[in-house]
Amino acid sequence: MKAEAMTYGRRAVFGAFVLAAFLLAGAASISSAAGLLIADGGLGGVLEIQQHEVNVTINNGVAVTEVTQVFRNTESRQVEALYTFPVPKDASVANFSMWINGKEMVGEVVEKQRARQIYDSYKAKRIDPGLLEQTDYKTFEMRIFPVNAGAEQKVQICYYQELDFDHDWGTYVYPLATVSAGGADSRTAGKFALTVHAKSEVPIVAMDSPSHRKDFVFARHADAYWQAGLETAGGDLNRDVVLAYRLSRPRTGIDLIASRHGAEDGYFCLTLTAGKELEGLNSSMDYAFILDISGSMADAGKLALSRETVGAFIQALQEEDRFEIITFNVAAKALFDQLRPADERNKAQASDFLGSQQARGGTVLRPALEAAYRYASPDRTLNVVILSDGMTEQGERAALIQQIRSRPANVRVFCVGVGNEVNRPLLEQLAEDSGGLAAFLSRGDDFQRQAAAFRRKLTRPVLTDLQIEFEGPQVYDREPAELPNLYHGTPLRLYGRYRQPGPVKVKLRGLIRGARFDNTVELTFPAADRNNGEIGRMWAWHKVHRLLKGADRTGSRAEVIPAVVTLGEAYSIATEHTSFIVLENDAQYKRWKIERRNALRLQRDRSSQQELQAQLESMRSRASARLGPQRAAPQNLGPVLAAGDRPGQPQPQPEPADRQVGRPRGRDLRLPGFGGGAVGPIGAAALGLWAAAEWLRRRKGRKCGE
Amino acid sequence: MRRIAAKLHAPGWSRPVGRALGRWGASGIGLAAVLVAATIVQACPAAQSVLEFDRGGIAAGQWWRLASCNLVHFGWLNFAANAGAFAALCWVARCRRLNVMPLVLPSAVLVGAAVYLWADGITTYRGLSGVSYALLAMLVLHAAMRAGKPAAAAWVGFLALAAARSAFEAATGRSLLPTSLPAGAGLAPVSHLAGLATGAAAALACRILARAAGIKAIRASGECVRSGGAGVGR
Repeated sequence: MKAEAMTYGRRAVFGAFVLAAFLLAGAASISSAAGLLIADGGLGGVLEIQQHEVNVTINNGVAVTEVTQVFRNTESRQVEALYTFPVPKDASVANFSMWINGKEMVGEVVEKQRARQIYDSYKAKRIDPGLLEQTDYKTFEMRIFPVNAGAEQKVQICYYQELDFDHDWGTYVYPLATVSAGGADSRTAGKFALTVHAKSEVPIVAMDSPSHRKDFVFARHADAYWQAGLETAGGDLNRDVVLAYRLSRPRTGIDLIASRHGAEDGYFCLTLTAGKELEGLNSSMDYAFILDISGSMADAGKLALSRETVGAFIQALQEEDRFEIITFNVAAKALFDQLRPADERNKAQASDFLGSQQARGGTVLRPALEAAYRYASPDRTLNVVILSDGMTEQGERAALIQQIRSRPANVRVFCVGVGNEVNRPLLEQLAEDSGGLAAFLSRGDDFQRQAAAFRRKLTRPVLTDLQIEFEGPQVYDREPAELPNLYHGTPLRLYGRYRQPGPVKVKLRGLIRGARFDNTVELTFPAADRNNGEIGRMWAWHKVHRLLKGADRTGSRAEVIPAVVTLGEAYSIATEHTSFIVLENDAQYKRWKIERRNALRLQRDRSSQQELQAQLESMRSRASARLGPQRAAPQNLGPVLAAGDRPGQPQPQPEPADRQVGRPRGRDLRLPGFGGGAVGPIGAAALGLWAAAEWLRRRKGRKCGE
Repeated sequence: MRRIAAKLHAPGWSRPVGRALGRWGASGIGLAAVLVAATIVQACPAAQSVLEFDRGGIAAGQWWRLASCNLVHFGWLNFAANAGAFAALCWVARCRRLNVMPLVLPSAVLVGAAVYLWADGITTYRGLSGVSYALLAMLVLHAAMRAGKPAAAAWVGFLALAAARSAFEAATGRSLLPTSLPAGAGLAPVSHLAGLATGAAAALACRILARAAGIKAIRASGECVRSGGAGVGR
């Protein structure tokens, strides 16, 4: 009893110490980390990250991220571990596994309330359940119970996401700089390893990490396959890992990737990319930059990032462009009170103005947006660029959406979300409703690259009024049903399903700078393709996303929730209305009548992943075989041997039939041509000289005449 | 023309116009008007979309675009280079006492028509250079006709080079020299070829008509030398 009292006494002292540390840390700064496993209940406490491994496979622009983490309960009590992690942009959580008694138990998706009920019923009995649920648009929470004192817990999460593309550059962000509860330790005690396999049928020509340039090792195994690796021991994980790779697709075109298993209906993803031939046709434009300087922008250097981004953007403007900067917190303030040309003097003034901004006060965006609209003129396009974390006051959001809808003609609104905790749905909706774009800046990224890329999107011509029709195998359930505008630098993806394999005629119609174009390309839907399993999930995720977004506009989700739950369960997607639950064994799943859909799907996906990994391994082997001295081919042995036939080199393996059909089936589009008659500078100078010679000749003739 | 100019020399508001007519002639004023129109169009984006070559629009009956597309440009740099070249050629024509104004409108229409017929990849065409190439061909052939044999061969050789360059660009799709076009807009050499052909045809037609009228040669002073005697006029 005495010993127990001592223990409680020690715990109380330790708890008081932890509390003090929390307060101190909270006052000093907010710590951050990738995902945090916190001992929930009582005074809390953080579980130590023993190991943090991230394996990313990027297959034609869709990244599959598998995060494996091992945590250790450093407390001397049994705890419920609460693991919070941010959702990367447009990510769909597709699996949650935990190791129970050394065996991996794969989670299943069920309706959120039901999942919580099941979890709570096990928790009361103190046996191993795990629950993963989406708490809001940006955060997932995972609960594991119990984690015994000193015990380790291994968990694995897998999510899919489409990468952001800026024309040639695809950017992958692994979010580590997550603002989380105070007192959390962002260091990993063991190793942190991140491996990226980037595979693309459009050749990859460069790879870089703006955030961890010195730490990454890059290897190019083939044009179609690059690998990047980062490994640290006991590192601090408070910066996002940003990796970018460049593809070389010079022409505007349409690419098809598909997925089909057996006799099931297949899934396809068509990607429409604007090429270089559409560059640089826009004339000068007006820009109104709206910069959020509210208190929330002080966190994690968001204001500094915004300032630098606007600064870089303004530096890139041409003299014939005009601009204005409006800052806002609870009130709006303009720099010039008029649009001014982007000359050196005004750029310098803007730089001083930006440098003097400080983050404080609340966030009320509407007056700033109203002020920006006043700069609109009928003969020039006004681009309103909002840089904010989107943490505008709740009551303002509906009015803001209404304000965007009633904008003047010739105004486009672009939203740049700053930081990882940005209110993405709001900024995306604002941009979407105005025919603009939303982009998101990560703290680890290179803001100049981001600003340059975003500027390209703003200034380059777009395809508008796009319509697509399919002739051939029956195509249904397209996502999105209506195509948005195509911006330079942002490929447009269309997902859908098809009933029969075979050739299909794709008719694409739209406008480029007012010129109508009408193209028909022929593509082939494959009979079997097991390499792109992610397409099915991405299709379902987009459908869920569209249903929820549509419902949010009407103000009620009640009508769409059943469809969202059905899709979530069928495609194993954690949403705001479905959660992953992990139970101790198969019998428990049976008891609750939960079908093992995810286990089966995961088995299939892993088998595909293994095939893909084998293919990548073969590419690595081929690349390494080219290293070192190559033995000369023996002379007088008949015909010259091909590179792959040299002794000591692996023979190139013919690709399996289904892998050949797995290749993207890309076609360039024939778009309206912009042609010009142009006299070059040399021609103009030569004609000038001729004119001068004629003038001299004439003058001389006159003098002679006199 | 001189009679009109003399009448306009009467005191009052019409004096400056009369002086200009006397000094520059209707042809000079017409050419200046082309340049002023191109400048106004360049400064007014709304006018550009109405005047540029739009294949769909032309097919729908907007025939004016065939000629008006020559007044529209892709940005100020493209405009400056084309308008500068046009102005220089007009000046050369004036120095050589050659009235090129009647060539401007037909060449503008023929350039637009050539793009419409033979450059079906181009849906939007802009630029005054096709007309400038027509003036160039006419001026060069005019110079060749008035020069001695070696100089005439040089002039014709120069014109042949210009034509060969445009033909090469049309065949390969690559521009041999830097152009003033912005990225994204391709060169339309067919317009240059059409301009050269129009200018050359006009020069030859003038020559044939002059021969038919009994004019053997034109002196540097502008005097015509008739088959049977001395120069009788300009």
